[in-house]
Amino acid sequence: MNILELSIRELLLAYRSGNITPTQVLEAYKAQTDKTEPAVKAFLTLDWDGAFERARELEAAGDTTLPLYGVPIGIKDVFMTKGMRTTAGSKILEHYTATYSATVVEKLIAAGAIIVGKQNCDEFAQGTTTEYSAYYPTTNPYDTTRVPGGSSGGSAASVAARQVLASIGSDTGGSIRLPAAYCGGVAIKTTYGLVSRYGLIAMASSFDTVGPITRTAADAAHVLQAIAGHDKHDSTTHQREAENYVASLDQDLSTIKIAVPRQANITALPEQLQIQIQATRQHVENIGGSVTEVDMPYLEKALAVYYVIVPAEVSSNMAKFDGIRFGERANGATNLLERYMQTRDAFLGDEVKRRIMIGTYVLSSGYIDAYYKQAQKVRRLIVEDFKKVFTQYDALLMPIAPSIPFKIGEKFNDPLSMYLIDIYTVTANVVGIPAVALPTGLVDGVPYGVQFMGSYFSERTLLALAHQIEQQRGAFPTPAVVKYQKS
Amino acid sequence: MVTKEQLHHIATLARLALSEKEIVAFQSQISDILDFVHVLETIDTTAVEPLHQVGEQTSVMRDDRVVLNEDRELLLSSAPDRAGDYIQTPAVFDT
Repeated sequence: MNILELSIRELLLAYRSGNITPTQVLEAYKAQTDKTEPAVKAFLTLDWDGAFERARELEAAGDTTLPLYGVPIGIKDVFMTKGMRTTAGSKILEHYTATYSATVVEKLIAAGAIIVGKQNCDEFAQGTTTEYSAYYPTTNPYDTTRVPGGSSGGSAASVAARQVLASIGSDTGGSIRLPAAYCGGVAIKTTYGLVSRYGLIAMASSFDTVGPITRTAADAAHVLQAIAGHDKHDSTTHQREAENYVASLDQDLSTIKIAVPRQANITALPEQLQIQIQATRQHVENIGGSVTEVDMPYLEKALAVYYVIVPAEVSSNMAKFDGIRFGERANGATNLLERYMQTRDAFLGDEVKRRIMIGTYVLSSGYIDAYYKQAQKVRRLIVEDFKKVFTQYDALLMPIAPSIPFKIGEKFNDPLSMYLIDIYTVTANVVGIPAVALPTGLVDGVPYGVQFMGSYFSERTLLALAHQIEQQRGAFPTPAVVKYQKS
Repeated sequence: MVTKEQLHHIATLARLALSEKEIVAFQSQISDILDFVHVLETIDTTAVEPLHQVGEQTSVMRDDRVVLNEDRELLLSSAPDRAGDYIQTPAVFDT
């Protein structure tokens, strides 16, 4: 038995039959992390002492029926973890220790999970490649000269490198889906309001969502089961009956109707990417479903809407980092205004500053109507476009990105070309709907993927669809940095 | 193209003490991005209401009850400068 290749379900069965203990599992994951981390650089903070102590606690309590008993999990460093360093990938929080834990972290611990550390990401989750981390870029485990995607790049890379069995990330415009697909994993971006954001360091509050990154759709279902639901600390979470994502994975999808928007311009993509998307269409048809082209006239405007409203919300959410209540502060200010201005200039990175500047600009007197309010109106038109499609179709098939993972540094100094990578992912956040990302295959040795978007709270259908497509596709190849002999 | 003067004004509003070098770099980058989002102006939105939030939640209410949520000592100790039970800041006005 190769511990690192067990799914969550298989691991839980092994625990329950007494074949293995959390300490043994953690030892295997730690050895793998020690081996791969110098090349992958997925973590900002590791807490093996805390993790092994937690494993012993679980063993002493002995309740192997817990839904994530002894599952090693990594947390993107934008979530508060009480007593543990929490940086959001920024120098302004380099020495900050969280004073409480995010609700998702509390829920994972209650479910029996073991948190091993905090994962690298673009500063305050603002980025597409994890290169905008103020610490170091994370690499793609399939080719360490390439980006892992972002902003949850550390979370996706460490799942691929078998450093953890699952990760928790945040998705504001594709931040779990892009890195999951680029690193051969699965991510479910949840409906706005399904998973609590209490303790998530906010980026853009009308877009931010929380979701797992895992190796398979079934693993994602197990993690989502543990973190979904209403939270009294987050008034945007819905009070609705809990659903069973795991039990519905094998539901009958033989009449599922999938739409592909013509405006996604798939025929303009490189041919090798079109082949990947075509393979997914074939898998849908093999299941018994149908794939139909549809028109979504406002789809192409989603990226512009996103890059007006998101910076506006970013500029507001970043205002609290001012050197007064927490984090770093610049020396030498003689009055309060100087303290704010010098601290923010010294400790925030270029991309964060750029977004604060754009956001302040589009909200400023004289420009707010032309940019911000107009974007809010177009946002409504896009939402209506999607609602209309979902009256006739169960899900939308879209590419994950217009390219495969590119070389580290390639787009670093060209922010607009970086933004264009997000063109296919941002729409789910503009509309607030769920989307599942999954890898289709290797292109030039690195993973590429697709995503399915569904109507509000259709996570059960999306995860089942991804799961059944995985059965068609077969197991995904392991990355280059994973060199152990498979048993 | 946004002007340097506009960027200096925005930087002050945003409480960012940007260097001249940063202003120069941002001038072309931010102009590119604003040109890109300009496409929104061509869309007819007469009679369309702005959308402020997604989802169906409106006016979520809770009981007006005091609950202890945070550890006061931990919060105070997170501040870079502290004087007893206060968070310390530089003077608001130059002295």
